[in-house]
Amino acid sequence: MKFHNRSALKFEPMQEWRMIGLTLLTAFLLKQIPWQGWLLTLRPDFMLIALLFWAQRRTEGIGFGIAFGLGILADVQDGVVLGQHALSYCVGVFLVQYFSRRLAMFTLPHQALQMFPLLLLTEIVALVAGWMSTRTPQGAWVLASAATGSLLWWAVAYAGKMPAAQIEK
Amino acid sequence: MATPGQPMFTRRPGLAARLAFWSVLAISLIVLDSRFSALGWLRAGVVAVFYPVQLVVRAPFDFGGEVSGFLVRHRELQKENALLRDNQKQAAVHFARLNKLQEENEEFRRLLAMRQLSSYSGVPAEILGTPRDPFSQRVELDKGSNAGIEEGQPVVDGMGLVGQVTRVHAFSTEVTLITDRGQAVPAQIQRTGQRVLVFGGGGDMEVRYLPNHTDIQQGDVLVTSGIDRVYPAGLVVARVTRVSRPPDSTYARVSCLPIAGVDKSRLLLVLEKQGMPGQQ
Repeated sequence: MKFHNRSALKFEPMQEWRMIGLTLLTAFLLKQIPWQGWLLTLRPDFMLIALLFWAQRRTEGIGFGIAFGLGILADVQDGVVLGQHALSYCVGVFLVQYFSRRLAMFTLPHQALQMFPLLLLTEIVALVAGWMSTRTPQGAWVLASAATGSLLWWAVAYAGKMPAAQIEK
Repeated sequence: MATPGQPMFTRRPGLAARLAFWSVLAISLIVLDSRFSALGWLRAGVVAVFYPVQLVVRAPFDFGGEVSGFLVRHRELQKENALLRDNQKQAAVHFARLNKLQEENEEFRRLLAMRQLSSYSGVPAEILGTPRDPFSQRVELDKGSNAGIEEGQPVVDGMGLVGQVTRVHAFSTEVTLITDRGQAVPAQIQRTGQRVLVFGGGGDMEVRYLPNHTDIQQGDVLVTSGIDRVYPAGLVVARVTRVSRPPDSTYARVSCLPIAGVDKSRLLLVLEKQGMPGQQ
């Protein structure tokens, strides 16, 4: 049996922070692309996935503060009420950190399956927050990004397991 | 190993406690923004900081659009050109007649001492993007308060009414489309002159509060009535697609579709605010 020794495999701290910054920036830029039509509907929340990936990988350092800040950024980007995504990102980070040990035990496809209800709950929190504060929602298709998001998680988690991402100290 | 003097169990608040703290913060932010609109400065600041980034990211896509536009086939261009020339001829005839009618109309209005109808003028702007917001139908334009745009101005395209400016930043503007569920447009049926209210319904629109016996048919065109002092009179809004008159209800159920390319046009025109009554 192959043993995934996660705790022994780490970036150097500086390198890791640079990596975190880079992935979050990439996620932000991906979101800025003028998406249209069904692509816009299926677009996963890149920033949320990047944030949750790091929150799961290292439970210290990446936490609610960063989730809150990125959430405000997402709120402004989407032109919705301020605090909506801040709240849902915080809930996402909580769920991922609460289940971080459990998630680490699974193979990647199973991890993606586990992420689906988690992302769904995160989206629903955003939906309810928006609904309470402003207007009636326009349809359940907004939850489609939870499905594409968990697929993206698979890809991101795979990238995180590649040898290049596991430079030992 | 713990170094001497270091407490063995650090008292850091638990995960749930931290979630509760940040949630309360987020919820108070939501309340501040939605109930008291007290955070405009924060939003404006973030938008101003990230606007250049948005432009840079969009640049390759705009360039791609230009290249594919350049590579349109010659045959298609010729066809389009012929069509446009035909249209132009017809339009010129109409225009000549319209000029004459307008002169006559002004003459009559002077005779009747009525207020002159204001002509439409405005700022052309391009759609930057559509934020994915499940709660509303909105687009973002590439001009803001730098071009003199203010909240409340009507937005049109070549075919008719598109929406209304709801939020103005320094270099960009948010427009709520007429198909948004929160939007209502005072209109009138062009054929009969009956005044109606058209509400957004997500993708389409509907006329509400219209008594069951009202004369309205499929294919009727609705134009703005101008009585709200927001939209100028005579802008084309929607075409009626279906009328049903449920016998157990007081009101007819009328659905219609916007005539303007609400989700298709790229170039829009932000019209000037209408004057208040009494102003010229």
